[in-house]
Amino acid sequence: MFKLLSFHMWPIFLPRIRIPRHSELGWRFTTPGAPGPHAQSLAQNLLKYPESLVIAGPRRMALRTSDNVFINSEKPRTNFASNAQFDDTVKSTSQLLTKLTVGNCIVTVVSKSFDGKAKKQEKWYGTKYNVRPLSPRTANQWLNCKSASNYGIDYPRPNLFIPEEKGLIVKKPVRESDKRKRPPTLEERLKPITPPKLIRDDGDNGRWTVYFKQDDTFGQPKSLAIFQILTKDTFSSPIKAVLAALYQVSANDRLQEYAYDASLADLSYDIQVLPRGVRLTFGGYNDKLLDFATYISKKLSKDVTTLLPDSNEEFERYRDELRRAYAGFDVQQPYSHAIYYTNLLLQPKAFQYTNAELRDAIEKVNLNDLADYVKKIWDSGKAEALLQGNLDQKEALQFVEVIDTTLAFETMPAKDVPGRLKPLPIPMTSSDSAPIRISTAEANPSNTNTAVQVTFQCLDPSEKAHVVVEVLNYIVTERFYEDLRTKQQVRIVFIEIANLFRIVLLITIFTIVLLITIFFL
Amino acid sequence: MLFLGTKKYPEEASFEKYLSSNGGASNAFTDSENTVYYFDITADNDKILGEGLDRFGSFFTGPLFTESSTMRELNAIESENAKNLQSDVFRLYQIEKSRSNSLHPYSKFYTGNKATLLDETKKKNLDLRSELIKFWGTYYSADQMALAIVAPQSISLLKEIVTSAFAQIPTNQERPGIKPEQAWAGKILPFGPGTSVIPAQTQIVEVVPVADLRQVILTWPIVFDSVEDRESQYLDKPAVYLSHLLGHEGPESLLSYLKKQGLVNGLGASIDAELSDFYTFQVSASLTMKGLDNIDVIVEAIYSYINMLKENPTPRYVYEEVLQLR
Repeated sequence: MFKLLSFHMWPIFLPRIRIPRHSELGWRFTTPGAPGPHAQSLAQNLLKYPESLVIAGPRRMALRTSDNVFINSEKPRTNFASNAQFDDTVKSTSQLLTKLTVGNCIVTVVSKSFDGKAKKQEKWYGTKYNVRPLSPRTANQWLNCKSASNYGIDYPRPNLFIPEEKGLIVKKPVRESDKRKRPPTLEERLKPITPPKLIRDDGDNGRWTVYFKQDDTFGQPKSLAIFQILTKDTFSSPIKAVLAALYQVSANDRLQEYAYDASLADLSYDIQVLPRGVRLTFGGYNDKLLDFATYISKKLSKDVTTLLPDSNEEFERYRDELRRAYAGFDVQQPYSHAIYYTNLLLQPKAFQYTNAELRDAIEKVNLNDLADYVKKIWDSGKAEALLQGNLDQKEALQFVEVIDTTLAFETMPAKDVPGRLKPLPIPMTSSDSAPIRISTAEANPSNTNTAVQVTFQCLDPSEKAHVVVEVLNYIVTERFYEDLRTKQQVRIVFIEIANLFRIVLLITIFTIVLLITIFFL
Repeated sequence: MLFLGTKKYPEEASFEKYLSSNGGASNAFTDSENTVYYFDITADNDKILGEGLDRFGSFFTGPLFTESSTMRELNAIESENAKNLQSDVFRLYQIEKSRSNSLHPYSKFYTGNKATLLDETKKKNLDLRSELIKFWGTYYSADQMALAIVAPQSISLLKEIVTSAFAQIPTNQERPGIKPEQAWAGKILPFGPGTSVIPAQTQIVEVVPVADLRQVILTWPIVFDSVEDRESQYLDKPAVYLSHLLGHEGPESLLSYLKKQGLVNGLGASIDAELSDFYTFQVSASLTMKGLDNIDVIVEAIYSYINMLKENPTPRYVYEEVLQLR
């Protein structure tokens, strides 16, 4: 019957909602993804890889033996199948290296400094450019380059963060009997997921509030831990906001060499200085997660000076990065600007500063200001934590203890703890007058697009009102899709659900972008 | 255009309506050599999935391509292009494409616009809609297509649904089994002196960006020597080992050295363009002001690293780690 189908490749059927896991560490414990992107990738792989490698093809290394037999076993590997296979890989890599030559290289340099000197213009986008020949002197310099050892460059050292097999134990495996044999019904989907539970509460004037949930769904040897030290004054002025940004750039840059191997082994950290304090996030395989988190926390909070620029020259490098990032605002797409201006309207002053204020502030700070700022942000606060994944309650509490000892901040009284973000209400207007409107010219005169954003706000905090807003959004979206995309043939740029209470729809109309935002407070 | 009505389901918005009524959505994208159409839909009802697939299948058996929707679709394409005009990603990519052989399809305008589709066809006395139908008839042939379904239904049921929805897709009998790339892959060299609009090897191109970017980009075209070479690149993945090493960010790495000198803020190495007959391997560095004045020094250090890879055997543990961590 199926010979009726004359496709280039047979359709591939994967009759599970959960995406299959395979082999090596990187995707042996991959979190199941959405079926949509998976199907898209599979369809393309069918045209590129042999059928037996349609899933593994783009992901796994060393996929054939030295006898040219495809390897499609799902067994985890930590090494090559044989010395011969390893030799083949080395040979293949050496062959590729022979093509990385000065003569075969295409060099492009990108910089605003060429403006005015670049006289040529690319046909389709109007990009200005200039062509100059590679001088014999420079070619010679590259051909006869110094030995890497002159620069102190060498091969990477062995990665100590790769988890050991004994550390990949899942504490609460998903039992075969618990796995779904059929898709969930609507009623099952409507059933709320059990939220994390409170496992430590030191009270209003206490130190910690800790939430925890042990994984019972994914069955992976991974955890995620978020620690937030609520503290005032980290973001109380544009100057502090740019110092916060400089600290993040500097700290990430300084931690990069240590944390890079960890990131390869799927251990991650993130530091964010937010309007309400400092947030640290750690995630990855449990095996080395606590040690990793402890080291990073200590560097950030206690060895603060080691994460700051060594010199004014280095400080200027970070300032330059941020300065250019802020200036990049001018050339963002009009719909980004429309979202930005709406956010300014809806967020209290201490939670967001204008691009102009930040650009002004970045020019006023120096290395001493940064050092003073960083010393204070870890001093005191009230802490919150959420731990989820492959750990039990006792381990979660121990994790918090270790981070608490490492950060060693002073407990802040409840009255000093900054309150939660509450969006500002849009000013009311009478029914016979026009709603509040902000109009602004595009900062980039070369951008001929226009954006319009319409925001609806619902001040009723009940769940019922929330559902009504969701339904309203659905109706509006449907109507716009039907009218704009189908009849007027406009391109929908994207639909974004930023959080539970905000729904953004962006539609391009020739050169006009219309944004509808529904806010639910 | 396939979304805008088929013989079996002629109403223009009917597929989207059907999907949104059943918790789904659809879209499509065009890569260098493939166009991918996809949709998702609630999976808890076999009939709904079956009709969704039947509607989707009709895209490839009986699209309408009405005159009206063809003309209107041009507006959507023009709008998409207008959105991209000030994007450095699109601008830099098109510069890179313009450095390849003008006769090779890689050199073409990536997205197209109203001018290329309407004005150019008019100039050549071609009818756009007829060309569209001709293109569909030539390339939307079952032997050039692949279908993947991820669903919770049983294999036997899925096979039944698929047979009903897709078995009628025609094969172009004028060129059965002939892949589109056979017209150029291995026949037209993708790069070569004097073949491109913007010169490539041995010439440095300096580009003015829209945003305040500072970058140096080294691109090596890796043209497949043979079918076996191409297979080796896909299965052995030598570029993955090299990008791991060149883009490493640990102690004693290339990045570590360049940062200590205050020349770069970041560095990356990866495969960029990927076509049937070649791919490009790229190393790019984001530059500091000092780095912009010292491009030659940065590139020299990159070649020093490449020479180290050529001359000193890479430790086996590096290969094993990449194999394990990928």
